[in-house]
Amino acid sequence: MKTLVVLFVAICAQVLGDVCLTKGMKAVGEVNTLNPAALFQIGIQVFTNPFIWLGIATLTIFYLLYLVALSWADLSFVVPATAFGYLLNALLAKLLLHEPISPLRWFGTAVICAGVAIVSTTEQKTTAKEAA
Amino acid sequence: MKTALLLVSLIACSSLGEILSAKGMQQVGAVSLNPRELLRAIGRMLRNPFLFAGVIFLAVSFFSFISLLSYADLSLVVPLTAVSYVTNTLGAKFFLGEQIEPKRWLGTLLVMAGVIIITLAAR
Repeated sequence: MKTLVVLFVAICAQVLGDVCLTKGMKAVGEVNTLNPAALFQIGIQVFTNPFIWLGIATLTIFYLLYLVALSWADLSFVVPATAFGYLLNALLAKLLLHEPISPLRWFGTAVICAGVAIVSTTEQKTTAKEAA
Repeated sequence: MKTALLLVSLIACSSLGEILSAKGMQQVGAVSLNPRELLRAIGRMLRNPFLFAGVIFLAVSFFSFISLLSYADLSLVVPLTAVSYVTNTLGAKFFLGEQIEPKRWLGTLLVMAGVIIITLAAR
């Protein structure tokens, strides 16, 4: 149970982090040059954008929580379990951004949820601690 | 050719990154959420070579992903990355010694199918 709770918080952080990075990069604008001086300018814009930093901080929290979950459960349990982020994405898009969600997308999301539900009934940890 | 190379790099590096991270955490052992023990565990994590290598592979896969997205279609890239659900599970079985019961395979394949359906729906 605690694995699922930590993974839930981790996925919320990941979705939030992706939103921040997207918002930050949209503020910087499309990167379509390879000129070193121009790239340097863009780099300065990227790393002085507060949304980018918020995104990086949130994604760092995601990765730490993900590692904590990996210390308790198998990789082959954690990876499919995190797919419920797709449900979260669909719900956020529908409720916050008022995007239309096609019936096929709801169907795919339901298939993912069925898969996550089946995986979550399996034994979480099948290996022992290994000496470093 | 460039697309194929980036896709292979994306899938291989993300699977390798995940497997190395999991291997590192197998060595660190179960982490307690008690603040003092958590700090001690973070200290062990920072010194673990598998976790270090894992972060590097995940960073390479992230850059492959954004490079692909700069010219390829999301609806082409994402269904192909769904393959990583299978490569991760195979890696977990052969490199980490995890036992994959049939029910876990069934759930994992359903998740992969669902991801493919969602990206096809976005076309």
